[in-house]
Amino acid sequence: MLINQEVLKRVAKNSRLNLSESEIGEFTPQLRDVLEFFEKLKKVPQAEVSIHPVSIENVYREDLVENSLHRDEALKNVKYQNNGRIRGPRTI
Amino acid sequence: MGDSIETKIGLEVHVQINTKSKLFCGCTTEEGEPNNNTCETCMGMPGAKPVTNKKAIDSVIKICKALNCEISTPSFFSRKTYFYPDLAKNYQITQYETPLGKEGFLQVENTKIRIKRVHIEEDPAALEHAGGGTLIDYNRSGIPLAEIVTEPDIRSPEQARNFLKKLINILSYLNVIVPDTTIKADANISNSKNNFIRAEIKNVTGFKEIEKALLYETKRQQEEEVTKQETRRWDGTKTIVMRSKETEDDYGYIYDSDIPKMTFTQEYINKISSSIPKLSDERIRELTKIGVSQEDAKVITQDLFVSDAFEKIAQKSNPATAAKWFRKELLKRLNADEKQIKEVNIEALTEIIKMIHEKTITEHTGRELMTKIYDKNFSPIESIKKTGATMIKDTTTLKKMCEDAIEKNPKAAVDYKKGEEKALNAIVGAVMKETKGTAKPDEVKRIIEEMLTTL
Amino acid sequence: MTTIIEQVKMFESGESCDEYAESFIEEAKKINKKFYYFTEFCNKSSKRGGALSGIPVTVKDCICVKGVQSRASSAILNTYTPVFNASSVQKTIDEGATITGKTVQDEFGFGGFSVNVGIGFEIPRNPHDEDRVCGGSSGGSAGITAITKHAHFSIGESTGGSIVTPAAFCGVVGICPTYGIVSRYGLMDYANSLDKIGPFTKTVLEGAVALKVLAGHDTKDSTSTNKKIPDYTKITEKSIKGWKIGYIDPEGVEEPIRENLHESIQEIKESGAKTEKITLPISDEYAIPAYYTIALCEASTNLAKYCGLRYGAQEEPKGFFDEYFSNIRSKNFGKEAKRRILLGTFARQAGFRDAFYIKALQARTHIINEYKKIFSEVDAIITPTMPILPPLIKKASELTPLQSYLSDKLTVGPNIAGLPHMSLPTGKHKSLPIGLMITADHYEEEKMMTLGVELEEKNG
Repeated sequence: MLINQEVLKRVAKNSRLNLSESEIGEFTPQLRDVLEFFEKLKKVPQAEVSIHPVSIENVYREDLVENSLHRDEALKNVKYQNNGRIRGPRTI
Repeated sequence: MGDSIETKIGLEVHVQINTKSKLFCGCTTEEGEPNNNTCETCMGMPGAKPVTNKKAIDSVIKICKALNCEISTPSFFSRKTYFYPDLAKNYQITQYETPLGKEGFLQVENTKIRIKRVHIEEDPAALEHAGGGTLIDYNRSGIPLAEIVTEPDIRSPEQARNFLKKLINILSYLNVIVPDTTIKADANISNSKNNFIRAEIKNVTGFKEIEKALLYETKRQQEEEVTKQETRRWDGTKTIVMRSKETEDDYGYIYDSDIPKMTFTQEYINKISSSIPKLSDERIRELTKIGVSQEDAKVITQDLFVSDAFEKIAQKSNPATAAKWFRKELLKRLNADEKQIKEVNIEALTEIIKMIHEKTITEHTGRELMTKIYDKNFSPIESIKKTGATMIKDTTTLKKMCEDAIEKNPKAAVDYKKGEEKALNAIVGAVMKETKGTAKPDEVKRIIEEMLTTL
Repeated sequence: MTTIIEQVKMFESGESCDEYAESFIEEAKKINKKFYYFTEFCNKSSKRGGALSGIPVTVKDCICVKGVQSRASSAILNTYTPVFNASSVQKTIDEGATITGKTVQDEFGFGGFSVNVGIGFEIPRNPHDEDRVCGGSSGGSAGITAITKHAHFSIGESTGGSIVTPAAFCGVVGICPTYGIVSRYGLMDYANSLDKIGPFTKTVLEGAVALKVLAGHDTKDSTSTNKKIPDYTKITEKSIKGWKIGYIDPEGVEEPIRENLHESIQEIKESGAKTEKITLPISDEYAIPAYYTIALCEASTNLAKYCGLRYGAQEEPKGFFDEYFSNIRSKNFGKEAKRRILLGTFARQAGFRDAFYIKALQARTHIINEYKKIFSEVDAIITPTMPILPPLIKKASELTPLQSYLSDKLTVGPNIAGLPHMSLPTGKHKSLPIGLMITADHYEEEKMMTLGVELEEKNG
């Protein structure tokens, strides 16, 4: 079995989603159905991977400095800030 | 006890590539007021897209070739997804299956250290811990980094240091990294006693700290029993196990389809290869062949530009004399004056070294001439003509001067005769003062000794 | 009803662009009360003159308009106001148009019926029957295009069928060009290797006019094409005489739709082209699982950035970052967004990525090759856009995720292969519209639209 409640909880944690008990109950069979259907990909014969649908390669820019956003613009949507820095939650 | 234990060390070294603009946007890589050098791309705003900096790719390909790597073509960027406040998109654009370079090596003295891969990636933002939270500055976000990963071929912390020294030397020769850049490294360490069960030490910053961390960890593993693989961090004095929570994320790498694949023709790779200057190993070999001591050659080849300047000068003067003068005088002076070799008047330097070698001037006079070495119009030969500071080779004149000096310093002469060898210095000093340094101190000393013993 | 082309001429002879924009916005607001097509109204233009001078344009919510709240119809982007225009929007403004509003969609494009709008958004209603769906994910764009009396077009976006599906259900023309023809700069990514921007219009020629403005190279999107864009408006001068059109007559299609397909085949023959029944067995087998695997793997990384920092839904940043991020994300993503993040994260995790993600990328190669082979023999392919008529909202909401994904079976093929495709209305069953999908080879938009014009004329 590809997915059960335990696996779903682990994937949810890795996705930074807290699932309620009812969501876990609802999602587990739904996602199992989908993943079991996707499993038919196993039969796909070996081939090159197509990362894009059309052929595109070697697109670059030169190493030139362009104008950055004004800081007011860069931080326009930031609610919590302190002297030009973004305030975030703690990491330690 | 440690002697019979075999240690294996592998390193993942991160260095900043010296582009003007960031890896995927046109924001400057210079420092600035917090979040002032940011845009929609390096701030991860919805809708923004990355466009790759060509120079950054060229630079890393250059590193790959200098480290004897095979170039991946095509090569792709990938997304390494994990959540952290310093990551603008909560994924880092890096490389996974197809690093720019793979399967190379770096010869460190007698050991070949295999290079597993060299890839390019973007730097996250700078985080500061404050008031129970973090303060984030995205100026660093998107700065290009090269990651160089070795196989676990390093056998001791000392060898790791030599590897890093050599690596930094090469990178600076390639002119692809920010000068005096701080290197960051992750290391994996294991030993035969513990069946090579590895510990990884994450994110050690600075050359010295890396060596300290490796010394600590190799010793710890020799003394303690290692039973399971773990991730540790270095706190400055010891390595500490990281909580499993900090390491359990699955990165779920996928290709970054915002960025087209990169392909490299043999012609392009050849062009990059041919832009790599002669590296220090080869230069040391060549220099020792033309009479430069091993020690001088090593010092001179630490810096590409010094080494280049030396090669130019050595063609026009005596290599051994030039090398000694570089190591004993020039480099010390540059250091003291906080100047760089490119600011030096190379013609003038050549003239000074030539005159010293030909004994036209003394080293003392040479040192005095060096004070004007940053002056582009300075001609040491002209200067010597004016001041008449050519070395006194006329023994008659010199002897006369020595006689006078002995007469004027009778006490010193008596003391010397009594066996106080140091007393001679006063008389030699007086002659040197009289000649304004244009006499060779050794020669003066020899004459005075002779006179005093025959007197 | 006046077309874009006619209306631009009327502005040239003195009609007021500003008044026209006001009049459109007034009408749109009225329509919105009943049909819920808009998430935001605005009135943004710069200079007039140009191919779209004075034309009111609406924009799918996931495409950034500077200074206008843009949320991809997700609560996690509440308050987000871009500081830059998407290139497609900028080009439209540069050609003299007025940006008048943002149109509702399935949250981040996650759906085919526009019933998966984000928390706090209303489900848009079908213009022909309010109890039925608009189709998705560009539901609002298709709906307003169908109802408005004004000359107008809407900028939509398709990842797996999000332009042609709502176009078919609403009875308008929806054009999805080759991957890379229109810059994605400023488009909030669903799946970067699949997302394509294209217009909704009432007629094919108007679609050609709009696409001509939107198309072309953009240095800000590395995947945008550097091919020369032909003058699409020349399609009316071309003919399909002597062409060969392949048609797919799929199983499980509702009878009125099948009948309509055969009428179109007949019309094509009358226009002097040959027709030939074709099948795409590889695509039939793998397009849906491959498409969803690629799309969701990419989507789950694209949505990682939404975490309550920098923009959108934010709270006082207290506590440990893991908990803070999880809290914001759990509260603000809708159910389908959560499911797709979970599926995508699952399919790219170590131990599974080779079996799912990598295999899906290989399947894409096989699917493209299959299409390429067909296009070496035919000029275009026609098929019904949707196998069903627009379903009731209630019914669409009750589908399981797998059932819902399977309903995309006719549209995901061209999307995963990055092929140009369009839907145009070719008939009605009772009051409900039926759409026909035309697919052409990469960069053959002209051929696709030439056939579109031909069929449009036959349908009056």
